[in-house]
Parts: sequence; structure tokens; C-alpha cells
Amino acid sequence: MRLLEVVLIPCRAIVYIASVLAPSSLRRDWRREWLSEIWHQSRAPEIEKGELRSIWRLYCSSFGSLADAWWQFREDGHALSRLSRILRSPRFCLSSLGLLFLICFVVSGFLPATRTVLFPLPYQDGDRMAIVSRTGRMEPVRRGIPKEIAQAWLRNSHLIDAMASSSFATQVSAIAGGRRVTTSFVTASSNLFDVLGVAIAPAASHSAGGDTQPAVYLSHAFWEKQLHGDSQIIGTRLLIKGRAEVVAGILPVNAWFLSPAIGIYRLQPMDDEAGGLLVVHCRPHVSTSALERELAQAAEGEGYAFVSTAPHAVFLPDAQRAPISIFAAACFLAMVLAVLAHGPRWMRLNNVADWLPSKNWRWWKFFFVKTLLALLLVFIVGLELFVAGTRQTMSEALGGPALMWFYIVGCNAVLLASISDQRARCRVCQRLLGLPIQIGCPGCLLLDWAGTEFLCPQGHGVLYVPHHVACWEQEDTWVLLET
Amino acid sequence: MVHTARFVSILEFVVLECYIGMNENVKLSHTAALILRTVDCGYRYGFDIMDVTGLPSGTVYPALRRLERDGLVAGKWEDESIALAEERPARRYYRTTRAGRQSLVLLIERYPLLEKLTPVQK
Repeated sequence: MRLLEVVLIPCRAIVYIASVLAPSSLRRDWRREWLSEIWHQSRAPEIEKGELRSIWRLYCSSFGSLADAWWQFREDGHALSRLSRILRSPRFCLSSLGLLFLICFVVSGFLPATRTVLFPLPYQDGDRMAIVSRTGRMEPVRRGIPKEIAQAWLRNSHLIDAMASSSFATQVSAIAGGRRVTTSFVTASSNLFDVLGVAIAPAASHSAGGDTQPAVYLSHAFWEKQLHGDSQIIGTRLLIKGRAEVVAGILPVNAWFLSPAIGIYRLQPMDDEAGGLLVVHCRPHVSTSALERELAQAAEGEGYAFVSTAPHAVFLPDAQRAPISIFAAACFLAMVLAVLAHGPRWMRLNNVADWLPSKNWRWWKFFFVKTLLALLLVFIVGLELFVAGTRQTMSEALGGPALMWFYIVGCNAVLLASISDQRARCRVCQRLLGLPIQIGCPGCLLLDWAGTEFLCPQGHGVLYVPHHVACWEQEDTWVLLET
Repeated sequence: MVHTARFVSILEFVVLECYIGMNENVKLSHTAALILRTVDCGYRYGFDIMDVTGLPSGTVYPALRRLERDGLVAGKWEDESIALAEERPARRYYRTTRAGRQSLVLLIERYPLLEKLTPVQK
């Protein structure tokens, strides 16, 4: 009996979804008939025995309700007008945006890049962590900060407590447990996770010959997805770039450095480290400019000068928030452009008082919600497209030129489209206006019309859009017919 | 005079109805005709018709709706008390109407294989 009830759940769901198409006057009877038929068919002895073929046949039969409902929908004389009404409604507009959100959420795998940017950093003293690089851009072709300079800075510094070094991330192909896997890879100094304050549980780590020998740590996501959570992997050897490395441990679930996309961290003594970027734990109330100045002074003390490029420091939370800042700037720019583009029109409105939010609250509310949803969609899509795949998400390179241009173009497009859409909607019921009527004599105006009138299907009003502006004052005119 | 006029109008209506009905019958596809014949043979609900004809539910139900719309079959909910007594949901049963049976005669001429479908044994 319980199995039958479980089997019937999807069938009932299909019928309920299909019943939305059926005309409301027939819907109740229509649904009752289908549910009754499905109930009777489910009582077949083969289904009660749990025979998969019969259960599948029952599901196929349930899908027939969609065809039946579609027939009912088409048969309904007002179906097309109903469909048109649905497509023009503000609810449809907001639902479409919601659906796009859902698609984005599912396709991206629950928004990994967005979570990286919005969630707190997985470090003990995140606010006091900074990355110091030679140029501010993480380009593997450039040299990093020489290790002698870094060590001299650490010895003489009044601003930093601890320092670790790290290479830039690269893509590697490794062989683990007989499987070939591809992931991002970073070489760092042995104290990297101590400096970051990421605690690796003793049970999850394995002594790989003390601090003098290189040890490999795997990110939790990489271990879980690529190595299927194989607990036997700790202590075994991993072949990376032709070198066998011992897997010393698995990082905690949310721990990452540079990017969640990095799967393998190779830790080795700082002396062996090629100069890359520095991870420093600062004392309280230290600014990035002070860090840069002190590093430059330390370099000068060692007889080294940063000739063509000045060192660049960035606090990790600032780097993490870079996309948000870029997005905010892009939104501001889009607003300025929108005001420049539409401002003159708004200035010429005769009945400004009618447009104030206090008089037309519903109209403004729809506009704000729609625009906000669309902008959020641009924000998320930008992050998932341009951040999720990168390996350097903890520097200002996070908000690279591609992301910046995407946000600028996206925010402008959204705002202009939102304003255009809003102008084409009824001021009372927010539905898109329709039934266009051409105005004027085409012969008098070089075979074009003087303008078009759009009517609200509910009879609320008429919008006149001039195609040929006779004087600078002539603009769209909204005539309210009834309220 | 009035009675004659009324008689003529009724006659005209009947002739016209028969003519339209015949045309409608001719327009029925083989599938719709098969379903009509199945209902006439005593298979009275959707899934039963599906079992007999082997047609999918997405074909049978819209065809039943169309036949019902055209007045060839009539659907009726069974008595709630019977369904309650048997602890099951009530079913909607279909039966052929007089127009449906008349159409079927013409349809069998057009699709002779329909005659081979035997009525359900009761």
C-alpha cells in the first residue's frame, strides 16, 4: 500500500501541473477524472507487485494528461486571448526572471562563485590577511618577489606577524589512485595554512616526513568529486608533473586559498620556494600603502629596487569584495547614463505629479522589483561565467576586465530594457500595452506614419508614441481612460 | 397555417441536422471511429479503452472529449454511493448517444474492420 502511494505521487503531480492548462470551469471535473483513472490503473496486480514495466506504463499514461489538457486549452475559445493576457502580465515578467534565476542556480551547481564572493573567508583572521605581489596582477609569466627580499622584510617588519609564500596557480594533470585527473595546482611554503589559520584536523593529516619534505594537501571538493572521497588516498603517492608526491591530508570542507577551484596544494620549505606572491598576517590597523612602503624599504636595504613595477598589497576581504565594488560602480554608471538618456523626457512631462511614487506606488514597485531581479541576475551570471573558472580569485584580478565589461554592458542593457519595458506598460494594471493603431497619413510623411497608439486591453488608457516629432516638446503621451 | 410552418421548420431542422451529422461522421478519423466503436462495445472508461485499442492516453482522452463535444458519446459520473461503498474514487463512464450509434453505422461502412471488435461480455 505504501509503495502504491509513493508511485502515485509523480502521477498526481503531473495531473495537477497539466490541469493548469484546462479551462477553469472544467478544471475540477477534469482533474477528478484523471486522478480517478490513475487510481484505478494503479490497482493493477502488476503494479502492486512493484513491476517496473507496469509502473513506467502508469507514468506514461499520466503524461497523456498533458496532451488532454492542451486539447482542452486549445478548445477553449478564449485560449489565445488568455495566453496573450498571461504573456503581457507583470506576473509573467517577474516569473520569467525567477525562472532564469532557478536555471542559473541549477546549471552552475548551486552558485559556487557567488558563494565564494558573498560568504565569509574561511580564515581565522581574514581581515588582517593580505596578499603582496609584484604587480597586483597574477600573471605567471612575471617574476614574483624574490625570497631574500621577503625574508629580510619579515625579519625587520613592524607591520606583519607572519608570512608565507605561494606560487601562481597552474593547471596540472595528476595521476592519483590509477586515475588521471586535471585540476589547478599551487606550490606554497609549509606554513601557508598556519598563517591563514586554517586548522587541518589531525585525523585528516598524515606526517609526510616533517617540515623538510614536500607534502601535498588536497582540497575537500577535489577529493570528494575527482577521487570519490577515497579515504585510503592519504599517505599514498600522487604523480604531479612526473614527480611522486605524498598526500599528507585533506583540507576542511570550506577551506581554500586563492580559489576554490584549486585542488592540490604542494607545501614545501620556504627556502625552496620560487618567488611568487606573499601571504602576510598583518598587525592591527595596517594599511596596504604602509605595507607596500615597508616592503620597498626592505628591498632597498638589501640593495634591490622594484624598477618597473611597485609592489602591490591587497587585503583578502577587499579582493573578495572586488566584484561587488565593480558591480556597484557599473550600476551607478548605468543609472547616470539612464538619467542622461531619459532625463530630458522626464523634465518635459506635464503631469509630473501623477508619476510620483506616492501617486503610482504599484507602478514604481513593479519597476524596482523587475530591475532589481534583472540586475541581480547579471551579477550572478557575471560571477559564475568569469570567476568560477579562474584560478586567481583572491586578488584584484578577480574582477578582471572581462567581468568589468560584462557588468558595464549588462547593467546598462538591463536598466535601459527595464525602462523601455516599463514605458510600454499600462500605468494602471502594469500589463504590456497592445492593439497598435497607426496614426497619420503615410503619404504625407515619406511613406511613414506620424505615430502609433497602443491600447491597454483592459481599457485603462492609450499611449501615443510619435514617430515624427513635430516639435521638441512632443513626447509619448499617456491618456488615462478609466481607473 | 401556423402548424404547417412549424412542421416545415422542424422537418428542415431534422434534415439539416442529419446532413450535418453525416458530414461530421465522414470527417471522423479511423482512430476516433475506433474509440467510438470501443465505447459502443461497452468499454466505458478511458483506461479500459486504452487497454482494448492499445492507443496511448494522450490520444484516447482528447478523442473522447471531441466525441463528447460533437454529441457522439456522453460522459456521466457514476453514483458516488457506489464508489464509496467500494472504497474507491468515482469514475466517469462514457456511452454512445443515438447520434453516435447512427454515425457508427456509416463509419463501419467506411472502416469495415471496426465490425470485428466484439462487444464486452457482461
